[in-house]
Amino acid sequence: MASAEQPASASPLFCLGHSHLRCVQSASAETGIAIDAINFWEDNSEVLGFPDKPVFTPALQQRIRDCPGILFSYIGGGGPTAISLLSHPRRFDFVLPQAPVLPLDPKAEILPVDAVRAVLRKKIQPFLDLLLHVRSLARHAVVHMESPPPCADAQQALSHIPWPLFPGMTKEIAPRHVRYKVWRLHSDIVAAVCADSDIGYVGHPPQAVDDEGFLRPEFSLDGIHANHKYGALQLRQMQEVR
Amino acid sequence: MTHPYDGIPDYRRWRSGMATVAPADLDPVVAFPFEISAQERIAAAGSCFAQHVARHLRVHGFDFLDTEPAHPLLSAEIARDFGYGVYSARYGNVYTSRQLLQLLRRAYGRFSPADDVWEESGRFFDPFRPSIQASGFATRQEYDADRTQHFAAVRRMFEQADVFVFTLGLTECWVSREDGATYPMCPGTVAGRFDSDRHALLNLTVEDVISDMTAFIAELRAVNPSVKLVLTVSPVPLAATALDRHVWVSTTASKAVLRVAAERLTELPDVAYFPAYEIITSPSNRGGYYAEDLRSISEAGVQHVMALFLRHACAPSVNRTTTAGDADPQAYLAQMQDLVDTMCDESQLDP
Repeated sequence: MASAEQPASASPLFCLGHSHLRCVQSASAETGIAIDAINFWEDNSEVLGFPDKPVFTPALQQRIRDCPGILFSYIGGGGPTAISLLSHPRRFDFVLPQAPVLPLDPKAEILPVDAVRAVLRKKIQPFLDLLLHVRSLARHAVVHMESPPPCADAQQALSHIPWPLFPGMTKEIAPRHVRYKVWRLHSDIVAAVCADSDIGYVGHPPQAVDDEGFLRPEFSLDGIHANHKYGALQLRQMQEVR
Repeated sequence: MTHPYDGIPDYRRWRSGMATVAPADLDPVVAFPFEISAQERIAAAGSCFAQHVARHLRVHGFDFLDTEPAHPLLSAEIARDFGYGVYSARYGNVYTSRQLLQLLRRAYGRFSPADDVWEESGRFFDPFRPSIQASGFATRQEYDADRTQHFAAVRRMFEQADVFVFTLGLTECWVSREDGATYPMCPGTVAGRFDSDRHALLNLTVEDVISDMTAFIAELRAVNPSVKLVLTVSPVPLAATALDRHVWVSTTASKAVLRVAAERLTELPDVAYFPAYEIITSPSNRGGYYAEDLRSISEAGVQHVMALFLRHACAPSVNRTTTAGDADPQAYLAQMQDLVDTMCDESQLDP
């Protein structure tokens, strides 16, 4: 918990969000960079009314109001995984306008990127609502941290999926470029919301990706999330912002 | 003394067939040349009115052929916004016989219009289905990939349909002076830019429509020999006419041309005419099947048409209930009206 007596620059970094927050929580001890983290993925009890009208508990609302400095958001970030980690039984792909030469899955149905964007936007809207809720409460800057890029090889994710909960799903990781495009599209949506809402936006650390933009294997935790090494890079990014 | 009118059935006399029949009981179909079973795959195309036909065919349990269905990721609302599920493939409204013939020839690579794409503010519009994505395609790559996929779906539709229902909508259309390519909408209305040096008005004659449709049927049967056709004429009046005369005069001329052409086309084997136009425009209902704009067709009118279609053209195994079975019929009707309003891009001519 941040102390009101500490100058904002020396106080712990106040972070809240979901599963991608875990990487900076893991990195905090080894880097010596203190954070004050609220991970809704581990404990969602302070989020009420999700997904229709999500709001924080009064106590958390007050805590956000009292935050003495920048508040870092890891809210959401799971949209790309939900839509594109596994190959859909009816495989799909799309042309990403920012990188239209990226390969198309030859076995896939091509969807309009605007339709995929609409699907993704609808999927992540509750998380965007939460992010805007944070913005409405915080007295100081709010900065959202981009979720990590996908790994080119995400096979290791297969062993972490509780398959009985997903009957009918293919047990096949989607082609890497499909996952990459969905992630880019997701980032564009979130960045645009941030730009329109006076929320800062910090992209992924460039050192963590390969030439094609995929997360380097040494920064991957489980094929979906980034690990403590990535978290350390992000903590430095957060310090630079502050 | 006898004459040919002695003993004719009631439906052949105006008094007994029209004047003394309750509007809802009007049945000008009388007989239909073939029966459609629930197992036969029906495809549909045409002008705005064809959307109603397609919608009812779906809800009555027909095997409605949709060879380009929305991906399951897309919600119904998103799918509708991107032109999925309206017809048997994602071709949008096909208003004229020339456009239908062109669709088939383009799908099989026999015609490639020189006017390939319209680019506006970095977005790409299909001149031949300009409303399929209201904001156009994001990239040329997407446009090309989508069109390739679309044509494959159109070919599947033509080859797999057991029955093809086509609603003839308009005679007035705009064509490219360069190669005769026919636009569904005048360039510059929904998308594109009108250029009188490049675009010309064509008002199809009876002979034109018959020629187009005869060619279409021949080419369709070359890939699907057993397909049956049901023709209807849209009762929806023109939103606007490009000719310097009253829109109602252009409407009656257009519908007369289409009606005569349809009549002549029924001389071909397995081509039937279904009198949806007559049901809606009949004096019997005193214009009651038109909405307040005197152009849109009311749901009651569509249900009358479809009830008779089910009674006369469909096998008894087909669900002949004319309501859609929705728990909230008002919401259903409102939604469907919204659908038709949204997709009837010809209304752009009369904003």
